[in-house]
Amino acid sequence: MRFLLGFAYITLKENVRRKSFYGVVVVYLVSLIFSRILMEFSLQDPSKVLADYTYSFLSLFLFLSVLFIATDTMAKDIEKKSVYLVLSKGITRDAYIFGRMFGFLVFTLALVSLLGTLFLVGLWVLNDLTVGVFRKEVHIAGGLVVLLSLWVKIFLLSTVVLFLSTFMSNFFLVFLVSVVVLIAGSSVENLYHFVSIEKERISAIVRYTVTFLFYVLPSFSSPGPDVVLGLQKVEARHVSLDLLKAVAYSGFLTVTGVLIFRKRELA
Amino acid sequence: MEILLVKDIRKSFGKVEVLKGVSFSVRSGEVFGFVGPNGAGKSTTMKIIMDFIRQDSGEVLLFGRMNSDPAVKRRVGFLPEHPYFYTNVTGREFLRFLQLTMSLEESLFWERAGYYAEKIQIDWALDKKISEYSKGMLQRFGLLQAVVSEPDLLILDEPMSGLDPIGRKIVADLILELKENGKTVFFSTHILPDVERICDRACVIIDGRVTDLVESGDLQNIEDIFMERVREIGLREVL
Ligand SMILES: Nc1ncnc2c1ncn2[C@@H]1O[C@H](COP(=O)(O)OP(=O)(O)OP(=O)(O)O)[C@@H](O)[C@H]1O
Ligand SMILES: [Mg+2]
Repeated sequence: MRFLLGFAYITLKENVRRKSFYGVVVVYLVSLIFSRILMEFSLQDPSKVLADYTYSFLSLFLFLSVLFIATDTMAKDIEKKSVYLVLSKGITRDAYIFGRMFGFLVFTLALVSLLGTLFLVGLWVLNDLTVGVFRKEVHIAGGLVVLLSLWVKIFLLSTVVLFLSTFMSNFFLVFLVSVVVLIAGSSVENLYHFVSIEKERISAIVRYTVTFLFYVLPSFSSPGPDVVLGLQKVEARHVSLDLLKAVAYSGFLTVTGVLIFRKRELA
Repeated sequence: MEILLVKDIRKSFGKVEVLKGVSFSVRSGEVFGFVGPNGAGKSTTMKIIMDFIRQDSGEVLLFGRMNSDPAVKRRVGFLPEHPYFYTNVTGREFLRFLQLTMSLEESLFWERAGYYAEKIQIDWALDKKISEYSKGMLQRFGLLQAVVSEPDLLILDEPMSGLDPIGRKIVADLILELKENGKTVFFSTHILPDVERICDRACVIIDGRVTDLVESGDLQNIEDIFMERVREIGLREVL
């Protein structure tokens, strides 16, 4: 199992060196200030506006970073043949896939911790500067649940990307299909919730199709800003089932990816 | 004893048959050259030996075992034709990655890494980012990563390519030193004088077929043999 350490090490080292990594951090700080300014022009409840914006930026940045970085990792390894150097060292193909996946488990955790801290601290400080009758408190525990869920979801996205990289040879294609999976997964999830609320008014065929797709496609949603502000309670059962599904999905993709990669020609 | 046995390998990419029954074997402790014109199938053969791509038929044995056996790979060092590394890290960080993934003992690993890096004259660049390496530096670093785990068998795809004359001499000396230490080296090249200078035996591959196995006594004639074969095959293609 020591080899996993090596992959975690190289994934962190490679990505922390990226200039774009710091770019993301700086731009996120700017977006926090931007959210604060937007709040001034909003007629709604200020804390909520602030939380909505900062959360949207957070999840956008997390998903985009992971999408780019994961695509740029394994698909590039294979296209540029750096994978030869790893496999020629007696590291099996299976270990390579597990290693890459584990590397992303650690990297996504680092990413969520960094941006997530900025999010919570930023929201807390900015919210503290807010006055008014509608002002809400920031609930750190709720915030941590949101971050945990975001971590699981961006890891899920990286497993989707890495899975596709086990058999697709071109990194632009991997990127594109990953985006499609991300969008399809999210839309089907919304549809599924809509369908489950409006059960009577929707035909059985549509209902079954949507339900089927909901279970086949990964879902990427997380408890949102309302949980951070305590406007919505964390439904422990719902959240843990959702996370469990995500983890199972990542596991399934990893194992399937391993099986596919065993047969792959690395020409 | 035969350390590497390649038996009647065939391989097609699409409709084009690139390897048409390649057979040869490399003995323990020798330096074995693999020469052939561009596109003859040298790199393809090496990729098959390393199990990166799979032959359509035939067999490869490393240390008497199937080449798909992962345990056997730990005894092999490989230098690809165009070594490409993770560019955002330094040479030393890449070595650290290898040390961790291969679970090698730390102090011994760095001692060896230091020794070979100095020998290959890449030690001064280990703290530079790999993206800043020149072509020759990449080639040298590629060699370093191949030898650093002190494998019993080295498979090098054009180890001299892109190197200046000093670099080539360093590589030749390194290969000879490895041989002194009982290692086996199998390498491909276009530089026939190098074959003559450092190889014990060599084989010539042209158009996916091994045409000649050149024993040590004949190595000084390898240039003639090579030219002769290329001419023959070229003629045959014209006719
Ligand atoms: N992935 C691939 N798909 C299709 N054809 C390939 C592939 N790889 C190699 N070939 C073809 O196989 C033949 C042999 O290529 P190979 O790289 O093995 O030659 P080589 O002997 O190493 O040549 P060089 O001296 O130029 O390195 C060439 O005709 C090449 O076009
Ligand atoms: Mg070649």
